[in-house]
Amino acid sequence: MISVEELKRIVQEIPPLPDIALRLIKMCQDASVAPRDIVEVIKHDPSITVKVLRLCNSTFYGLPRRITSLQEAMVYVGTDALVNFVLAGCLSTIYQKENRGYGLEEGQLWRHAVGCAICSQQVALKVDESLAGAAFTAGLLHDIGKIVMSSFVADEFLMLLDLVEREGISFLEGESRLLGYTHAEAGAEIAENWSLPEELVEAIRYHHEPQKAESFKKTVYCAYLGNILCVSLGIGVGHDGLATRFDPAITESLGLDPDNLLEMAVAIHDQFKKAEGLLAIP
Amino acid sequence: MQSILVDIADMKIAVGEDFELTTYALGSCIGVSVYDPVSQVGGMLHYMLPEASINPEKARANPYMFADTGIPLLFREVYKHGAARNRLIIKLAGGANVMDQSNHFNIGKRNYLAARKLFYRNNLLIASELVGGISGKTMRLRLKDGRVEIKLPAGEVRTI
Repeated sequence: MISVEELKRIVQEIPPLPDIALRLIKMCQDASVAPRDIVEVIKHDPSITVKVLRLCNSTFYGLPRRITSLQEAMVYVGTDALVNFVLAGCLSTIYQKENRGYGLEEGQLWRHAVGCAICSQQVALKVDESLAGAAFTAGLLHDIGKIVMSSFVADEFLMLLDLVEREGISFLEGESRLLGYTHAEAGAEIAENWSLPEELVEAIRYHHEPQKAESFKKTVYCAYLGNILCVSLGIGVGHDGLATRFDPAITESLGLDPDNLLEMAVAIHDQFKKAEGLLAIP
Repeated sequence: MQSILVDIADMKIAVGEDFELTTYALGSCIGVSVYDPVSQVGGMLHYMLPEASINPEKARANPYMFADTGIPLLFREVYKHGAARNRLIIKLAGGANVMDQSNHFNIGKRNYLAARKLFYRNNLLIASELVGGISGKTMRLRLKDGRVEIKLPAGEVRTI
């Protein structure tokens, strides 16, 4: 069986996030940055500009007319959405590969990432609208650790599944017991290596164990509930299925009840239907 | 064999041995398969939520999203295509739940109970089912012989 040290070494080999994505994520956290500064960064990357315009014109936003410039896009969809489009453009290729260990065919992990981004955003919109952008980004990134763990989980898969079923534990707890390392830990380390903001690192690290979060709790909780909703709705679900724990204390602390989550499911379904543009990013 | 896809919050009907109906990604949602072996009429519904009261406006726009609006429509449609009530074979799959000891967010269970309640009230029997657990499922109904297969993770296929 592979050692934790070996897994951590592989994490270090994940290629860096493109500079443009990182710069934009950081700019979004700085209140003094003007929307035109963001347009300035994006417009120097023609391939990203094309992707952003294509996404703006997709059914996701249902805009009344065709958007032809980044300035217009900024006006219609806003800063958060623009930055998320850029991030989605950078992440989609990383996520697109087959994810053998988690039983996800090519494209399914990306489908789950987009689904969870939409779910997390819907939770944020109900709880605290100012978190909607961060929650979307956290949802996109939450399972990034699976790209590292996939082949090793595949090798140990039958043992892992047996352990989860026999002991009634979550898939994450199974990873921890069998491999000594989880996809959430791997994801948080990748995010740290990419120098992503602490808010996103926390959300990735604790998206299955929100009780352990010590900072940016609301964003972590949005990503956690977003993932619960996403797997419940069957969006990009792999071998790990619904083997994740629901903690009612988290919904309560956000002032939500289970019926609120059912109401959100309706909005999520509509949003996801419109998300083909995000799903089809080459 | 022509395969017809039943999307999430969707319902499809087919007639004749050349068809099969398939729905993917059943997490806590429920797939309802109905089949009349004589007329070879088959129908499948993939609903997401138990009651239309969660969002009545949405239920009017898409009744297939909810058990209490989708199931009656499924039956009405198969009858329209020539199925007979006394011959209908009803099978269910899905209704998985995340691990929740508090039983607070039991959407899969609520979805399942909504179907059970409707069938009980209408004196209809469920022939077989594969419901609950923590696995996502794919459901397929073959109209040639009414065989219903459920695909589980790791490629396991069960006939119900």
